[in-house]
Amino acid sequence: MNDDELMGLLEGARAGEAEALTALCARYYPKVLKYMRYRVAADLAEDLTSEVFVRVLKNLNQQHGSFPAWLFRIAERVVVDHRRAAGAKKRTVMKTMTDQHEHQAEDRTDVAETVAAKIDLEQAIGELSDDQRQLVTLKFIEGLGNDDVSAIMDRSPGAIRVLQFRALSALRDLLIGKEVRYGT
Amino acid sequence: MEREQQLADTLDACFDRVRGGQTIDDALTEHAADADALRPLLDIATRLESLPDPNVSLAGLMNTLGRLGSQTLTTSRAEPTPRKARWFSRPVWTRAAAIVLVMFLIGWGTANASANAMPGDFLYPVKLFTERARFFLTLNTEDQAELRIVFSSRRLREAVAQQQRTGEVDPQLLKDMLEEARLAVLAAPELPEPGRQLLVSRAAHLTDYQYDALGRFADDGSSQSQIVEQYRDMCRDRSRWMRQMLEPENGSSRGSTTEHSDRHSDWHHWRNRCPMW
Repeated sequence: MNDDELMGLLEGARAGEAEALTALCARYYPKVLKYMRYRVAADLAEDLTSEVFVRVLKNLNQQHGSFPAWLFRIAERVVVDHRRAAGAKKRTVMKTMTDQHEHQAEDRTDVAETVAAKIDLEQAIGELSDDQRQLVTLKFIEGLGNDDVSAIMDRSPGAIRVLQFRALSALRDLLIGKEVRYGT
Repeated sequence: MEREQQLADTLDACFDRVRGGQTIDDALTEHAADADALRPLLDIATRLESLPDPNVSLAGLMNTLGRLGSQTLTTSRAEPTPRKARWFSRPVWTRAAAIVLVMFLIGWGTANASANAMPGDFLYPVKLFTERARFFLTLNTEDQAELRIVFSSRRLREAVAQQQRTGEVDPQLLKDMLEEARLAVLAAPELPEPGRQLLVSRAAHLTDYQYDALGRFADDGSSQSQIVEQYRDMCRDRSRWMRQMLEPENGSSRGSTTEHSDRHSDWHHWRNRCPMW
């Protein structure tokens, strides 16, 4: 979707056009769901994704600037509010997703090696600090640029680059640790 | 600290190059001193980018749209409206969302029930809504084009059913039918062979069938016969246009790079000549 199409959809959605709001929701729903899968337990991802779009609808008239940055700021606010409400100090991020991959690995031995590598990577993401995991999700899994990530996380571009370096270094160490543990 | 910032900046610059299509080794060429430190980080970054997308359930998306419908209803209630005009004065979205919400209260089976809904039926908006949601959840261009062909066929079936029921043809249905077929075939230049030829071939057959069907509408002496004739002419012109790229001299057997490039440009040139209103 190019910028003009997005602007058209946003204008239509603000005017209350069903088609524009449906298209906007359908287009960004998979992206927000993907974000949620890496930020909260898998069984909560759909519910919290719904909550994001309800807040988008409530606040659409105040939206300006980059839409993805605005959308993911709302998504992160939903994550924070959920944790606060649940009083969750320790998350069980991606447990369900990892279980699912483990079953797939048992069933499909031909791709077991690839799946195992993905499980390791997803588990390692779950062990990052909260801000590192948020950055990894936004930058690499959602594919956003530094400007949007910087706006969403409310940090300077320089701070984002350092956080990115630390997050990838932490992932490298975690993955090396797993190799040593399993003797691969 | 300064060293970390420097490495972080270099890593970011190299990652931008990798995202732009360079290999990791090429991106590190200018940073040989830091290559050993940065290579594993770039490798992890590219692995992160290729992690699979989660499965998106249509039920989850519809549930979200149902909540949005509920939200707009709540908002509308806060603004008092004259009692008699309440339902009809709501925006289109509110009414569509209410239908979706009701659908969820009744159960998911309603979505399946809507599959056979015809224009004028209570569930027809749900059918169009489900189609749109399905289309937006389809990311692959070839699959999107296939869906448009299906939608185009459905619009014709609905137009026939409505004509049998009321004796009149709905020009909007016919227009939607032609538009879906046009958008489907415009995706052809983006597809690899043999998918491209297959798509155009399917669209051409569908267009021929639509041409015949419109002929029957015109013979029935409908009050819309002038528009039907106009749409029929459009089908004829588009069928000819599609078959230009299915003729033997336009086959996919040519092999050299120059010919491949010419052919690529042929397809784009051909797309720009699509008969329009």
